[in-house]
Amino acid sequence: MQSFLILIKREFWEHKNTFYPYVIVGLLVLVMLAIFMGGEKATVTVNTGDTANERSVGFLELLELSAVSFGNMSVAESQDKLRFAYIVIAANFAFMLSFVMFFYLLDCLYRDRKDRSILFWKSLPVSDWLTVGIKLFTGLVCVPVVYFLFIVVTQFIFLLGASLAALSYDVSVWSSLWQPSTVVFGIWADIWFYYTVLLLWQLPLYSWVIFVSAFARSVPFVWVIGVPFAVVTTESVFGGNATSSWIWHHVVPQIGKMNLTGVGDIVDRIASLDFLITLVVSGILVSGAVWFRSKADEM
Amino acid sequence: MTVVSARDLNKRFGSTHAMHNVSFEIEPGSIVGLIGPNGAGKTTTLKAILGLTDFEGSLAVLGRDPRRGRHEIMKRVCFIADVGVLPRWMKVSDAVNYVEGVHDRFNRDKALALLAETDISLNQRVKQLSKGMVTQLHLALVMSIDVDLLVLDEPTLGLDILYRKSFYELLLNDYFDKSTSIIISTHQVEEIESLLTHLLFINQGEIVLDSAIDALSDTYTEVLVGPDHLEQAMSLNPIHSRDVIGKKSLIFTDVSKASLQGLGEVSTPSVTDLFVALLSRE
Repeated sequence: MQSFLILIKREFWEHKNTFYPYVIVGLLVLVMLAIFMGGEKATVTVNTGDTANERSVGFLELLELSAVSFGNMSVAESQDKLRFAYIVIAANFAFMLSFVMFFYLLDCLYRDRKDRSILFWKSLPVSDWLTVGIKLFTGLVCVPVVYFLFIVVTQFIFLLGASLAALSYDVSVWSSLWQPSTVVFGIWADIWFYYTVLLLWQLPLYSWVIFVSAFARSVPFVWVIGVPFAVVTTESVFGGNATSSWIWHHVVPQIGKMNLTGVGDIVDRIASLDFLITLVVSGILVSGAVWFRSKADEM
Repeated sequence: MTVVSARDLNKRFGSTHAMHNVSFEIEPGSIVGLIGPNGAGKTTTLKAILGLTDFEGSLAVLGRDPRRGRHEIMKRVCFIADVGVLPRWMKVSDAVNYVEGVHDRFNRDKALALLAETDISLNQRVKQLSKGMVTQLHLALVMSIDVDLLVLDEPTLGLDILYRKSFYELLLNDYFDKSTSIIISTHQVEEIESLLTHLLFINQGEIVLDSAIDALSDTYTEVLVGPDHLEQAMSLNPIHSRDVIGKKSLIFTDVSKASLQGLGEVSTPSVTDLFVALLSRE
């Protein structure tokens, strides 16, 4: 168990620049706050009850105005607006996460061969299966958990910011912001539900990426994009599209079209031939990554 | 149990033989020098022992085939490659934590005590250390692991003389005991010749000498011959000769010491001279 933890820690030490692009996260948070607190446009319609007027306002003034407008909303309206804000925050981190996962998995079995430290790692009693397994687990589970925590913290910061802004006005912080914020629990559940479904369908994609990471002797990015591109192009020359659409389906799964409303639907999907192929392809690619890792040497 | 038993190892890179019918054995408690010029196949042989490269032939390291279960072998074997293979981003304290986490036989207190004797501080990163300090760090980690075989591949390459000297002193005085074996590869013979109990010379992928240091005097004899006995001495087919101020130093193999006694000053050749003799004969 101790060795399991230290192996994951090592991934976070080595790849911390991949995992936390701090500046981007910081900017994102600021932009989030500014956009939502101010509305999407710098020109807003202010309804003060008696008269409606439209004018351009500065950022600080926007903060005031949205705080006031929150005070006038019904609970359902506040919930809608807050849900939108929380989802936008989550979506932004999810978008970043997809890149982080991709580049981490592409780098994880490549970097130590490049910097020769592979001779050190391989001089320790850690099997190649465990090495590859830990890297997959880190990329597909640990990093998403960290990003989920980013989402939660940012949502909380957002709520605190909005509350502070509202404090200066005659608005009930509890009933207009904190109470309707319970919508966030549903969003968290959705995040993990869709992440799990997405992950299952994208397994061949991530397995392919880690395979390239173990196999490429140079330019892994070119390999990871180039090979599927060559397959798709070759196939289209011969007028086919079966492989291409299979690949596309597992890069960008059409989760919306799957009509997944519960666990039962997922079980149905998992019991399909398509999913069996998914598992077999992923299994072959991951075994390939382990095999290349066992042969790997400094470059 | 024999620590390493290699029989007919072969490996080719294109048309060159990195190992050509390499066979040898390493017994417990020996310090073996694997000595050869650059590109002779030293690193390939060591990598084969460590399960880091493929090859043909039969090889048992502590009873296991390193091609399968490298990680099992690494529980009982440690390895230091030439300088610079510790990951540059790693903090010294993290390196200690990591090795402690993955190695059952690691003694943390010992590692910290060894590091305390150096100028390395725990919160430095490897990239901030000099070459010599990186080697010190690696040696401190490795010396704190209780293993049966230590493999050193040109461990002092690129280090200055002070680091080289203290490296081998530390290794011999604080580490080596009769239950551990060490195999050291180098092309700088003179540096390690006094430590070794056993010699393996390798050239162009072939073992050209496999002998205990103690047994060298049975086989090899060096005679310093003056001009008057030179013709007689040359008729005994020395494997090597070199000029030494007005005399010749000749090295003989399998010629009895008694028959050489009358020709000049008889001694056992140094490892360095033997290395030159055997390799220039090729």
